[in-house]
Amino acid sequence: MTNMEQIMKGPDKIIVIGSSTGGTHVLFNLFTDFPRINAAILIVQHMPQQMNNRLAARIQCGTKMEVSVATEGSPVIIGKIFIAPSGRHMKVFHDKEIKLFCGEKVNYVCPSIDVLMMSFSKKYQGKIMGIVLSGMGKDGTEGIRHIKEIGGQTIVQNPLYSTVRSMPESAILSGYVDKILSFAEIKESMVEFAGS
Amino acid sequence: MADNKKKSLMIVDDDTDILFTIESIFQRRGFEVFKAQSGDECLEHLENGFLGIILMDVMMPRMNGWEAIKQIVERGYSDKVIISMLTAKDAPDPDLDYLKEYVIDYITKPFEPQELVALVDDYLSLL
Repeated sequence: MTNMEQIMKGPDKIIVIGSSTGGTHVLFNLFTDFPRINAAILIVQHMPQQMNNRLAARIQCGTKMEVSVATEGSPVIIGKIFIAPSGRHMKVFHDKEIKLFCGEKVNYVCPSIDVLMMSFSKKYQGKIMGIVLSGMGKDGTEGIRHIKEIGGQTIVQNPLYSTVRSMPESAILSGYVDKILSFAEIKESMVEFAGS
Repeated sequence: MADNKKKSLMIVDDDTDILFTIESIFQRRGFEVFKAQSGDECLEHLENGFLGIILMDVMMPRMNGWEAIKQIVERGYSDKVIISMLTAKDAPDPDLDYLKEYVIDYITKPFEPQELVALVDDYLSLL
């Protein structure tokens, strides 16, 4: 398939990761020796703006996938990892194009994990995975519910191994979580889900 | 200049044993270490131009750690620092949820020096 065909079609599989306080270490561990998988990966990390490019660069060090801070209109295609920029919510428009917008904070944050996860349609039934890592509060809980409802897989970092437990615990309490895993198991699940 | 910025660490804690222990660990590793015994003193360092990593205790007299972070944000210093809590409390207060995007990590005491060094090295890569 040509690049243009991929852009028109959108990726076959998408993995959405939500992370907050204590989550950057997990991201570093997930993306150490991380193979190029047959999926696009979208990350919301709650963080100050000056960290955006540094986080992308750090993740890039551990993977052959192409990592960048998301920009408006970027096509969501296989082999790319997009990090939501601070101060703007990120959605995926028509399941294949990144949309960034300023808006009210959701769950006290912008970008919000929920906003991104809830932007996917049932077109991604069986083709989307939502993951919630360490963090404060409950951002990601509604998103996990939505991903499960459209037929996706849902995973949270085991709260026992999370620096801050409340975000994964909130997602678990929703009743929509398929698996509660360590970061090593999350990494295996991502690779298994998408194939490399 | 960039290297100086990257090697600056501020410890904010009213426990002087903690201050001197952490200072010793990081001075040996080439950091310029700033010590503050309250949120007020932390803000003074920022007003004097501190740029770098802040390890912030929660429970301190005069101004506690979360109040200090609120002030850091309101005074526009949050883009100059990376903040991690360093605290004996095992979990953050839920009503402080609105400050979470300014706190990259939450380290609980007691800590292993090697673990702390590894974490701070990670923060450096984000500064």
